Amino acid sequence: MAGELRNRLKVQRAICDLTQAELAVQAGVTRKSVNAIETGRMVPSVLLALKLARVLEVPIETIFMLDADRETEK
Amino acid sequence: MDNTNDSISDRVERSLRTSRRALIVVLIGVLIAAVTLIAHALRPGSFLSDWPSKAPWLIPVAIVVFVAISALTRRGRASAAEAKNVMQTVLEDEFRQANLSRAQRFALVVVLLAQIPLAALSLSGLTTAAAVTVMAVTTVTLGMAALIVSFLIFDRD
Repeated sequence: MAGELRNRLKVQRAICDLTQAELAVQAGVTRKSVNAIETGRMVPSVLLALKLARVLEVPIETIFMLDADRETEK
Repeated sequence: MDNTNDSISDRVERSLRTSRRALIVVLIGVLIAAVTLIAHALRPGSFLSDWPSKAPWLIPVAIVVFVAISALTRRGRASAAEAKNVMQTVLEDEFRQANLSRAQRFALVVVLLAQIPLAALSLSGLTTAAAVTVMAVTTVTLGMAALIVSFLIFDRD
């Protein structure tokens, strides 16, 4: 039922023209966290996901989605 | 704003590097202490067990070196508020906390598994005091080493 969590953080970060380090500072985490999320090595907490969405000025669903949701979109 | 971000980001990166190096130093210190204590229990009078009394100058020198390295890493710190922000970012970082939790679980498994071979020490010809010392020192050392090493591995880029 619940699919794997996917994210478009790298794409959204590129759209905002931010580096991993810049995004990390604005979200209050280290660059390693941003890198780990982008590469799928870490699932962020709701709090961090909301912070990232706020920094990138997009709804949270634009960045994070379930695998099943992405297949439905196709 | 970008310069400020760069500055904070640089400080966070530096702080992470420093903490990794500090953990390696702690690991080395723990291993040296463990080898000394185990040697003291198994072979009292050997070089490994008696080196602290043969080279007592080594400990003050190590403290001076440690203080000098700490002072060097603090060089260039801008303000207490910024340093606090950097420290808060590093300590509350989710990736770091997740890795610490994984490392703690791994260290617990290592310590528990180590008890099986360590129990065999009681069957060996060692005195009770020596066997207990070796078991205790090995348990603590294995736990700390497993925690530090696994954290350093999980936390790498």
